[in-house]
Amino acid sequence: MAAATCQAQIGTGSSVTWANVEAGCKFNLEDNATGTTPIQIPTATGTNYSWIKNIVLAVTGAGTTTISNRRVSMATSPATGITLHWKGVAVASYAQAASGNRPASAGSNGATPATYTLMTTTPAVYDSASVASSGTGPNGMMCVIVLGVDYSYAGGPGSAQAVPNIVITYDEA
Amino acid sequence: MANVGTSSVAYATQQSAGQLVFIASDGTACVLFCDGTNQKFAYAAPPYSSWTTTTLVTGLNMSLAGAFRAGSDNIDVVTGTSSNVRPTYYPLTKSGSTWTLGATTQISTTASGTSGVGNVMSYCGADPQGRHWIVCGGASTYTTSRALYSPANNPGGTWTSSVSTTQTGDVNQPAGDQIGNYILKTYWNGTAIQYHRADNSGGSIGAWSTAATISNLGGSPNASSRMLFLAVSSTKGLLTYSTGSGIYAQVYAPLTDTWSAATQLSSNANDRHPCIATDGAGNAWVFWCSYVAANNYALVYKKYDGANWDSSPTTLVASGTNIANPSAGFGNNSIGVTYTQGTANPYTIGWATISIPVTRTRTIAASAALFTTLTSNIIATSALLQTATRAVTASSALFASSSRSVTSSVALSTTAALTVYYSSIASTTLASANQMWVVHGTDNTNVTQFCTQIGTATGYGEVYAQGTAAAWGGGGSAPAPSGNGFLLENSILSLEGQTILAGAWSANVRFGAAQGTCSGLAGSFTADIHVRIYKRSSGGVYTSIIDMVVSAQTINATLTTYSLSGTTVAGTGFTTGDKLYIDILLNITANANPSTQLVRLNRESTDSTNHQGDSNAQVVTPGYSPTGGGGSRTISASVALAAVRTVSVSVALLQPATRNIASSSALAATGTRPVTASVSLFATNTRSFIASSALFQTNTRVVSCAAAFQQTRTRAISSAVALSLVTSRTVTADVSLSGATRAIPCTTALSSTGNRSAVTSTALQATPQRAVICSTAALFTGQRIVNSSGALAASFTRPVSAATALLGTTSRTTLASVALTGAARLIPCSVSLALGNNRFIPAQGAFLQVGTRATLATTALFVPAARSILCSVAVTRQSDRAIIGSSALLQVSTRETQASLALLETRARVASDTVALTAVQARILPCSVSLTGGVLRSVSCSVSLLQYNTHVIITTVALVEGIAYVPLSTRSGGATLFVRSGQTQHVVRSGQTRLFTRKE
Repeated sequence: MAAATCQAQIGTGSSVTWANVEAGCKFNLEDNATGTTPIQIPTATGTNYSWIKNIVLAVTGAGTTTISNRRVSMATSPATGITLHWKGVAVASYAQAASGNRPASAGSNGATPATYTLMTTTPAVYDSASVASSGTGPNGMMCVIVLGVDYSYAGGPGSAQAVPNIVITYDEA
Repeated sequence: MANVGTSSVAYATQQSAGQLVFIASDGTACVLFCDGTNQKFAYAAPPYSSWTTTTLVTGLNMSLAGAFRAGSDNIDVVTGTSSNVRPTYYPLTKSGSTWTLGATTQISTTASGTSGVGNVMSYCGADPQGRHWIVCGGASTYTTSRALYSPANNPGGTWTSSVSTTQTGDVNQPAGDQIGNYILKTYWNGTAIQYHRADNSGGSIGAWSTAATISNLGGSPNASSRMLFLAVSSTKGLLTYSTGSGIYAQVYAPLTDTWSAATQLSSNANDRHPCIATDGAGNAWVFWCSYVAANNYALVYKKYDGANWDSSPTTLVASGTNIANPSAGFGNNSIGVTYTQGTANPYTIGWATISIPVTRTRTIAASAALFTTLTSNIIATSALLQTATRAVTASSALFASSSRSVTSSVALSTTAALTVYYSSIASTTLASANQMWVVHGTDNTNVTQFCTQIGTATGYGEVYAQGTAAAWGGGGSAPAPSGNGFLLENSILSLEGQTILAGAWSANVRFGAAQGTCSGLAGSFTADIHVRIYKRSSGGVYTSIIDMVVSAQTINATLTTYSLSGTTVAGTGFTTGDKLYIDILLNITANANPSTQLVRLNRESTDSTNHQGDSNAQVVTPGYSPTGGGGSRTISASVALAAVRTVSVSVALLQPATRNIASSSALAATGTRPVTASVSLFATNTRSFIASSALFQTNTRVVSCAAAFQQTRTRAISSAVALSLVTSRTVTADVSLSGATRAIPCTTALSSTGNRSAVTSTALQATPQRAVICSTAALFTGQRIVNSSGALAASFTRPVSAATALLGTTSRTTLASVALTGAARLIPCSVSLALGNNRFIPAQGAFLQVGTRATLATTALFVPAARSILCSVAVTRQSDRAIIGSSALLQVSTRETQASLALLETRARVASDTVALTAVQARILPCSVSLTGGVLRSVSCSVSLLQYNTHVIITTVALVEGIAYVPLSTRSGGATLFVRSGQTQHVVRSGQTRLFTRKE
């Protein structure tokens, strides 16, 4: 039973294109993982969100295994005022990141957008389905992630502010 | 997935102590089994469709067991030799995809049994010192279990016997494993499963512990039970065994040397042949054959995760055949299980696998792009920044606040855009230069071109605004501004007093290559194009603003517009005489043209009338604004400015000096304002108010009637005005007043005034003098004339009419029926007195605490010093009294008491019959008196005595069996009466009643 080679990828574009995102995913107000269009740090109590990032676990080298139990977590705890939020979405329901599908700003600090779940350092299952690793490309659902920054964030502005690494965990058998 | 092979014997995979299955790191599975003739070693790569089988040992004395050598895919095997069951070491070394059998080593000359068929060996792997261990049987009668070890890291060396346990009965199923710092051996001792262990973590092997029966065994294992012990981790081991009531498992903790309660994995009495696989990460799987019917078993398992077991078994191989003797091994995230299948020769050596999920992770390095909006808190009443004057429209609400926030929608900016266009019109300030326009016209209309000589040169040179036939400069660096560029005249736009802002610049310049004449487009060369921007002073000093460059451009016979851009980070201020100046350079890097080569600059505007230019010959600036920020601004209406505000950076208003504020604005804390009617004003000095204004705390006003006033000093107040705290007023009727002097009409209610004339029925309080008519209620006055029926209190002298109630007076003449409390009074009969010193009280008077009184009969007295009390008087605490019969006396010192008086705590009394005495010291009591606590007494008949020290008891004392009881001695301490009865001395103690049957 040969294990698959996998990679975390981000989907961008109107007709989705998947690309390796392990080197870096910048939460911004763009449909990409590198742009520096910034998210405004609220000037009063409230939370602003990045544009969505469509992340998948993708098979780049086919295996004879089955992948299941895909989970998402943060490697470390974020700075105060920074939160990450996720939700599982079928790849077939891919939506290009845009201002229109960015979660609406919230009036309270640390708010989790509707339909999203707050990401923690404990892996949380976003897709439990078993999918064979024999085919390359996205394996299982997308994990749609947004970053929230609220008024309590004291890290200041910048184009490369630290955010905990995002860990995609999965079972392969 | 294919079967491993076949065997002619049913015990082909039989074992319960050792491990027969191994899965290498590349997934290749290895199986040890017996084909009925020889002992075999088979292996296959995933998906296990083809097995390679070799003979490991010729012969059937199978006692196969093995283990991976740590950190490798090499397998160490122990089994019996072909001719006997002497444990022998067989190394299998993996190379590539195959294993090679190395030199064998006989571990012991003692056979592990008369038959090597299964169940007698475990290969336990290496201890912390690198010594390999096996556990095996050791005698033909199966009465011995042994543990042996190799030299450190040399299983091919000479092995040593560490322990040999012999017993009377058969030793079945010796099993064991290395667990933590211990080698542990289990075995069936004929009656129970026992174990012992030795610490083999050091260079010297510790002593083996005394074999002990494993506690908490479940299901009554017996001699037929299969058992297997494997280490799950360094801190947990797992023992599984079959019993007549199913399969059980127990966890062993080496740190505490304890066994857990037994977990029943199955309850079917016919379930059989359990085996274990562990993954080294704390998980274990127990497989067994689950009985369905005779010769019909399923292969099932339960997983143990280090704490919990699967609640129900999982079927790995379905029932339907006779499955027996499974053996399992873990590797490469899989568990492989081999087993014997069938009821007759040939038996199938089956194979099944379980994929164990492996958890993997992918990590995404994340970051965020964030920005924040800078804010400023500003003081003053408007959001104005460094401007001199402003016009603030009406409806702005401004209040004396120290800081405010102005929303970002307030846009205050004086930045003006500026684009300049090259013209062909010579500058009036600098004749060598051409002017620039600031208005865009229609492209390619009213334009011309000029040519500059290049020839065969390369290097830097200037493209003259007015063209030139002079030789190309050709230097290695850009020349200084020469005045042959373009100048923005003040007549077109004066930048004096303005600042060109920092920001983005861009330029278009249209070139063509020409030869001979400017119209003869020909040739081609390569150049870096520069458009340089300067501030030129009236004295001809050039200050660089930006040098825009586009490199390696080909300029040829086709007229082409080239675009350049750049950014400045600081603004440039223009003072008097300063003008904007632009020149154009080329750095020619390739030029193979003839000496007649020209460069042609196109689209210079010839529009000297409207001063409009071509967009192909333009420079776009970041714009400009007055130097120093300011100017004047207009804040539109509807800007709400109140209280505290946060002003965004785009708002440029702060600290103005003066303003004009329209009426209807609500103002406070300002010095001088014209204020329209209906405005609410506070704390101002001088104003004119229309009627109906509400005024407070002002000095002088003209106030229309109906105004409500408070705290004014002088006013003319119409009737019906309510006044308080004024000094002098003329108050009309019906006015309620409180103050110094007033003339108050009748029916007015007054309080705290000095002088008033109050009409009848007026209520007065705290006034020094008043004339109060009859029926007035007066309190706390100094002098009053109070008519009868007036209620007086705290007055010193008053004539009080009859029936008046007086309290707290010193001397009074009180009519009968008046109630008095005081020092001396003359009180008529029937008066009730209390706390008086000297009184004469007629009969029926009630007295308390008087010193001397003559009390009539029936008078009740308490604590008098000396009284003469008539019969039936109740007296307490008197010193000397003559008490008539039936009086009750308490605590008197000396009394003469009549019969039936109750006396307590007296010292000397003469008590009549039936008197009850307690705590007296000396008494003469009549018959039937009960005495307690006395010191000296003469007791007549029937007396019960307790707690006396000395008693003289007279006749008929109720002491049965005593005739006359004379105190034996004077005793102290009381509470005990000694009497003699015959020759016996009796002691009567306090509280006792003692009976004597004989008298002396």
